[in-house]
Amino acid sequence: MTLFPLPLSQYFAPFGVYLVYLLIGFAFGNVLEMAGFGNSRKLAAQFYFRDMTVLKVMFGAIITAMVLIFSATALGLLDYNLIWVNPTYLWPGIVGGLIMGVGFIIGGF
Amino acid sequence: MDAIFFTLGVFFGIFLFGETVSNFSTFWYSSYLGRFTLPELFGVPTGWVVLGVVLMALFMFFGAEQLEKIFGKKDPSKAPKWRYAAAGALVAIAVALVIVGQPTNNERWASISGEKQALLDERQVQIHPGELLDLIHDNQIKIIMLDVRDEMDYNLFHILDARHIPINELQGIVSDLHFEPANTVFVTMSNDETAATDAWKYLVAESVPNVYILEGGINNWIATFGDDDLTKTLNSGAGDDQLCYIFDSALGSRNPAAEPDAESVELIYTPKVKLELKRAPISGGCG
Repeated sequence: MTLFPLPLSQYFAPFGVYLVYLLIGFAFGNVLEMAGFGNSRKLAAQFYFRDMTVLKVMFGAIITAMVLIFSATALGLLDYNLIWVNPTYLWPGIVGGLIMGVGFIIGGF
Repeated sequence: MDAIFFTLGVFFGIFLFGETVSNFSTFWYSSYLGRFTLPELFGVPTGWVVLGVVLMALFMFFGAEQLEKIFGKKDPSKAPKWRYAAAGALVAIAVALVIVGQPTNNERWASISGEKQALLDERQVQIHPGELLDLIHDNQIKIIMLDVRDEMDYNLFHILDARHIPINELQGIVSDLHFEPANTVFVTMSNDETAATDAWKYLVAESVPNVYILEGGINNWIATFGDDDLTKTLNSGAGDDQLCYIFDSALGSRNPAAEPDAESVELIYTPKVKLELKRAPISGGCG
């Protein structure tokens, strides 16, 4: 068995697992807020190409995670089959993304 | 103030969605592709997709800097210098991934074969036909039966609700099997046990949980549940993993032995199925 994904439910009691998820989410939100993603003007500036921080951060996170996941799998540390991949609903996903993007821009006025 | 309006907006949006979703639920569930990843889409090995995405992203970052210079009047020489080193490191790791590749099924099996082969040898994962019948009728377990024989044998006789999957097609359904709920038990079956054991090894190497083999295969199932008309056609000279019984017509699962009556026979067996704790999350993210 590979080391990762860690079987958290075997290490902690049932509710300890949720504490781990809570801490991860809190840290994630904290870092994003420190980077200025809570500021709607910064988010709207992305659309007008004035400040490309959102693109850089999001895509930077994507490629860092991708490279680390596949490197860990190639080294035998991680079992990629056990990683949750959101099932793809293609056209609803595209429409949803467009709606969310429009909302971001409207919110940035 | 931003945050208050944002939260009110979220609640209002959820309300609107909840009231209208039944009208567009067909669209909501459309174009389902399952666990679909870019290497599957392009049909290229994972390493190449990683390298392609990294190069695409770095190109976009460069473009973003130019756009910021034009539209946002930002001075690019003020950006931190370590970004070039980071970009170089990412490309280097991606190239290494292209060379090393991802583990194949054989490599995955080799890394777990110690404990798993012992399970096979101690016959802890081969279940008696009586246990399979009880599992089929157990309301708390979802049973998925994978029949890995060739199509002719499957058409002659197969257990009711058994799915026909030749071994070379197993790879295509593995991601669907991972989406099954945590109380699913998979049982592979062939005429004897040879092909079913190969299928078991493949599925266990792909980290599918709760996989078992039908002990003695279909031949044993028919011997246990078949009526006398059927069992007297036994051809004991048939080869390894060949169907030992002769059918004069291909009834498939319409043969009475395909859905035996659970009450009629009292079978003694050692129950072997134990549900594993699911190691991986079965839902998550924002969806």
